[in-house]
Formats: sequence, C-alpha cells, structure tokens
Amino acid sequence: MELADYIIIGSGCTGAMAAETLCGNGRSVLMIDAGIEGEISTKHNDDFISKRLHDEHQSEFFLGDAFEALREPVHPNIPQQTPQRAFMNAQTDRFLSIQSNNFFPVESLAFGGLGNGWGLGSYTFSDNELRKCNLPVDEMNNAYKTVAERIGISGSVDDDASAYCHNNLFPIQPPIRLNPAAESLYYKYKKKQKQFTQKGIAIGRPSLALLTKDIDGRKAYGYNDTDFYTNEGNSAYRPYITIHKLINQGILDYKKGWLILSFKEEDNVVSIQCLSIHSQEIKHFHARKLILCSGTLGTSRIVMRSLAGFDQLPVICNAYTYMPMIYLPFVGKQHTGKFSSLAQLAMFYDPDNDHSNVAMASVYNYRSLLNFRIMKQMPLNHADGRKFLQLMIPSLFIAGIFHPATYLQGNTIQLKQSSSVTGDTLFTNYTYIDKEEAMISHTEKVYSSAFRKLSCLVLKKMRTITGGSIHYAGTLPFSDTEKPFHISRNGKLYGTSNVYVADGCGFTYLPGKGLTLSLMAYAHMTASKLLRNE
Amino acid sequence: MLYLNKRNKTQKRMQNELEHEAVVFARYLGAKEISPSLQLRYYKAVETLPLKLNAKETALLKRITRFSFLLPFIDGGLALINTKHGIRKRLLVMFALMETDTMYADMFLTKDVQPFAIIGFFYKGGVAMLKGLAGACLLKCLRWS
Ligand SMILES: Cc1cc2nc3c(=O)[nH]c(=O)nc-3n(C[C@H](O)[C@H](O)[C@H](O)COP(=O)(O)OP(=O)(O)OC[C@H]3O[C@@H](n4cnc5c(N)ncnc54)[C@H](O)[C@@H]3O)c2cc1C
Repeated sequence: MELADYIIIGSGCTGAMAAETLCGNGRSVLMIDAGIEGEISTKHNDDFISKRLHDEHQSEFFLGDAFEALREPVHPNIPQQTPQRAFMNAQTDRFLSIQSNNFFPVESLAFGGLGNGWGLGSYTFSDNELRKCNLPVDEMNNAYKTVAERIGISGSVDDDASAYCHNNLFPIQPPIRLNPAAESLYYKYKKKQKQFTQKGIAIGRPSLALLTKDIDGRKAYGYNDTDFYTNEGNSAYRPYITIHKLINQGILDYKKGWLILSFKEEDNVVSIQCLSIHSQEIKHFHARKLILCSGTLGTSRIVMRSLAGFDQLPVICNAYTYMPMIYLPFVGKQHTGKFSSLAQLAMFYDPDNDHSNVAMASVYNYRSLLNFRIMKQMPLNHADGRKFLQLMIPSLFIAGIFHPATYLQGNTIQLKQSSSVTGDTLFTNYTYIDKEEAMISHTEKVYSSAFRKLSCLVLKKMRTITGGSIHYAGTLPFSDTEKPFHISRNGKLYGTSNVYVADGCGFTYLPGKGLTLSLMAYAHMTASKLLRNE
Repeated sequence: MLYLNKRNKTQKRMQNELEHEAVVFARYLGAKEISPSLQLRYYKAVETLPLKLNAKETALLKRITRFSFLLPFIDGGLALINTKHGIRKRLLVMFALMETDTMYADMFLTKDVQPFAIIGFFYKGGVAMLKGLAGACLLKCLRWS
C-alpha cells in the first residue's frame, strides 16, 4: 500500500496554495483531482481589434468551432462563458448532481477549478470581517502576505479604496492603466469625492491578481483585451501556474481523472475511495493526512458521504446584483484603442464606516465579449439595434455588486440518495428573509444613486438567481468546541483524526467582496499549521 | 438509391433556402455584399445549433423573406412580445456571424468619434422602439406570433 504524507483533493485556488506550502517544505504530497483539462492559450495573441479586423478565423475563436457561444449558456449564472473556458464546468451536471428551485451554484471539476475563470479581484477581509468569519486576525494577515507574494497582485496603494482592497498589508505592483471611459468616471468621482465620502462610498482601483511587471517567468499584462479567451504570458494568476511549477520541480505528484467519493480512517491512515471519471473504476488511495480543497460544496458532499449522522448543513452565499449603465459622456466615443475587460474600478459602500458590513461593486467596461451578447437582451430589432449598440458600447459600464451574507434559517444543503452516477443528489435551498432583502434593496438604491451622480444612466438592476455570485461558504462552520460537521480553528474536521478542510467550508460570514484571496490565505495557513503540529 | 437521391435533393433544397435566408438577413443587418463564406457559415450554424422552427414560425419566416421590408417591424415586435421566437434566434446568429467576420467587423465597432452621438443614440433607440410597437400590433392583429 502506497502511503503519501498528505493527499490534497482538488487543484483549485485553495488546493494550489496548500500544495505549495507543503511541497515547499519537503513533504510528499499527492494531489487527486477530477482534473478535466481545457486549453487556455498563454501565447501572444493579436489584440482584440486586430483580430476583429484581420483574422479570417476569428469566428472559431470567438464563437467556438461548434458555435458554442451561440448556445444557451451552460449555466444560468455564467452567461459570459467563452468557448475557451467551457471546460471549467464540463461534466459537473453528470458528477455533481444538484436539485433546487432557488439556488444554482457554479461548480468545477476542472484542473485549476473555478480559478480558470475568476475575475482576479483580490481583496483582504478587514479585521472586523475576519472576526465575523471566525478566522484568526493576525495569522490571516500574515498569510495574506505570503499568498500575495506567490500570486502577484497589482493595485493602488493610496487611493480611497486601498484600505478596503488590501489595507497595505503587502507590497503590490502598480495598477493597470484605466480605459478612457473609466478614467473619466474616476475623475468625476474625484471632483465630488466629499459627497461620496459622506454617504459611506469610496471608489478606487481594484486589486487584481494580475502582473503589471514581469516576475518568475510570468509577463506583465499586455492590454490586448483577450482576457476572457487567453492568458497571455500568464500575466493573470490561475492555479495551474502553481501546480505546473510544483510538478515541473518534481515535488508534487498529481493524479487526475478521479472523483473522490468518500474517506474512511483506520489505524491512523486515511483511505480515500475514488471513482474514475472515464471508466467508472473504483480505486483507493491512502495517506497519513487528508486535506479537502474541493470547493465548499464539493468538500461538503465528500464529508456528508463519509460521516454518518447529518441531516442538513447550513450554507451562505453572497447575493449579487448586476447593474448595466450608460456613461453618457462616452456615448459614440472611439472604442478601438488598447483596452482591458478586467475590473476597472472598485467601489465600496460601508454603511457603518467600520469595515464590518461592506458591499462592494466591481465596475467593468464592455467590449471583448462582443455586441451580440448585449443584443440578445435588448428589446430592439437587430438592424437598428446594431447601430444603437455601435454608439452605446463605448459608454457601457457594468457594475457587479456583492452583498454581505450571514447564516439565515432554512438556507441549507442536503445530500439524498438518487440514481445519479455518484448515487446521490445535493438538494439546496436559498432564500432571503425580509431584513436581508431590505438591506440588499437599500444597497442597490445607494449604488444606483451614486452612479447617477457620476452621469450614468442605470439601465437595469438585475439580481442573479441565488448562487450567481459564485461565492459559497459556511457548510462546516468553525467551532472552538468539538461538534459534528464543524471544523476546528486549525482546519481539522471534528469527528476525524487526520482529515482537514482548507477551503471555504468553515467561514461563518461572507463579506460583500471577493473571497478567493482569503480562501487561499486560509489554505496556506491551514497547511502551515499542519506542518507546525506534525 | 432512389431514397438517397430524394434525401440529397431535400438537403440541397434546404441549403438553398437557408442561403437565401442568409442573404435576406445579412442585407437587413446592413451588409452591402454577402460573401459565400458567410452564407455557408450561417447554413452550418443553423444545422448545428438547436434552431429548428415550428410551423407558425416557418410560415412567418416565409412571409418576411418574401416581403423583407416587414423585417424591422416583425423583428422589433417579437423583441417586445416573444424574445425566444425562432426567428429572433436565427437573426441573432447572423448578427454574431457578421460581427466576427473581417468583412463586416467595422459595422460593429466604433472606430471614430461620432458627432452628435447622444442625439443619434436617443433618436435611434426611439425609432427602433416605435418600429417594435408597430410590429407588435401587426403580429397581434394578424395573429402571426
Ligand atoms: C467567472 C468567475 C469569476 C470570479 N471572479 C472572482 C473574483 O474576481 N474574485 C474572487 O475573489 N473570486 C472570484 N470567483 C470565485 C473563485 O473562482 C472561487 O472562489 C475560487 O476559485 C474557489 O476555489 P476553491 O479552490 O475553493 O474551489 P474550486 O475552484 O471549485 O476547485 C475545486 C477543485 O476540486 C476538484 N474537485 C471537486 N470535487 C471533487 C471530487 N469529488 N473529487 C475530485 N476532485 C474534486 C475540482 O476538480 C477542482 O480542481 C470567480 C468565479 C468565477 C467562476
């Protein structure tokens, strides 16, 4: 029987960070993963406009060989999916069976997980937010530093949003250049800054896991505006970068094609039961310690199958509002220069002025996802719509607002037997009670009023179906006392001797901002503690 | 043999119909010249994607390909009363194919600053809305939708 020191399940952002910490300290690590692969080109590409004007094969690039981009979205909550990223959610309907009337999470069985498509927004949780999450403040602040150094983060160090983005906890690279429309919007904000501050709103540059200077063989961002299709020079941090590095150094053993069903402990050995996603063969792997990094819902499925005595588990998820708007001064402006489709501005609404209940909006310009996706949603005929969009697109901003989330009674997940490939289906329920609903509506109003002050015509407020924020947590809450289906502060799953959870399952609160930097910091922290306590 | 010949003929006829449809749609969207490759890609897309029309949709398609001046009204009307209509879906496919074709890309990009853009913007939007309303009335009155 082969026995690894550690087995890590999953190759997403959390798995990559836990692996780097353990492998870097000389431990033998086996990473087991469903690991469905796709091809995201890292080579230099034409910029978006040259491609549009000169590339005879652009249709295959933008729409897919089989016109995938023109099909109904694979998932209602990721309408912006491009053909190049389709692998991110491949086979989830087959192996991650789910049923719900009101909660549609996005999950991944890909090599690199959801990190293949994340928007790179990298935000630290404030001390108050960390406390609400039940995370140790000092240790997390140290862990942020390590992770930031590994993945490379760019942003501003001294604008109004810096304290919300990263609080200068670690050195960062300069921010990306703003698109002209975003620059103009930001300038408008600066002129009216006082009014905004009084309302509890701060605007600045987002911190992104994106290089603006070359490091470690990765290249600085090139403003080619093909971010949804490629990752040129690996300027954007994606988990495959870490995992390829560890594999190439010969310090990580990576096995793909295996879906972990459950685990069992015997004589200080954890035995993991896996199903081949290709042949349905069942196989067992063994380790001294198991670290689950399969995404909050993925990990919960494995735990629910492995430990008896559960009925249902709680779950938290940020509510998410899209706000498309027209920035009137930019209607009909030239729109063919160097450009970025990544987040341009970060807005923070802090009603209590103490960083404890913040709702953040990421503000994007629109271009490289093409006009047809917008046309599809417009109540106009296509011929006039085309001309209308030609004028509108240069002025189109889309704000995505994350609302903070706490536990609410009735928001649960439950694993029930079924005839699916894995023999079970996850039943989910997610609704808001009046108080939460009122807070979300209030925040939406605050944001639309702020945008109006910045000369934007807000077209719509669209709340995605619950699950649409793609931020999930809290299924196995942290607890200082031993309780079933809870985890200790050092990540150990209560009721087991050697099983650890290093993804978002323990977080007892979800601040209204990107959670992934905190997930990665937590994964690193858990792995470090394991090393210390060996 | 006879059966195969018949099948080939049906397929050929379908291809001709779709190529004609492609010409009508592309002209409607503003194309001056229509490349054979665009027609072919449209044919392939309709074959590949779930874009089959039901009997009512097919009848309406026949009318608008014969009387193409009706297209902006019918298209706009459907945008208001039945966004999932098969004809809207096919028009969107042509829109996307033209957008990703070097020959037509210019028609979708804003390469120069447009003077009086804000007026044009509201005017174009308003006119399109009116066409849509007229089209919706037409569809309802003639029970075409
Ligand atoms: C379009 C998009 C944009 C986003 N933008 C942002 C952003 O800007 N900022 C931000 O903070 N967050 C963002 N996110 C969220 C972010 O991507 C996730 O929070 C993060 O990637 C989660 O990482 P994870 O490691 O916990 O899980 P995942 O990425 O879900 O990884 C899970 C891994 O486990 C494997 N796995 C799962 N179950 C099993 C099993 N049973 N057996 C074997 N392997 C298994 C999978 O193959 C995968 O490798 C975005 C997400 C998406 C989709």
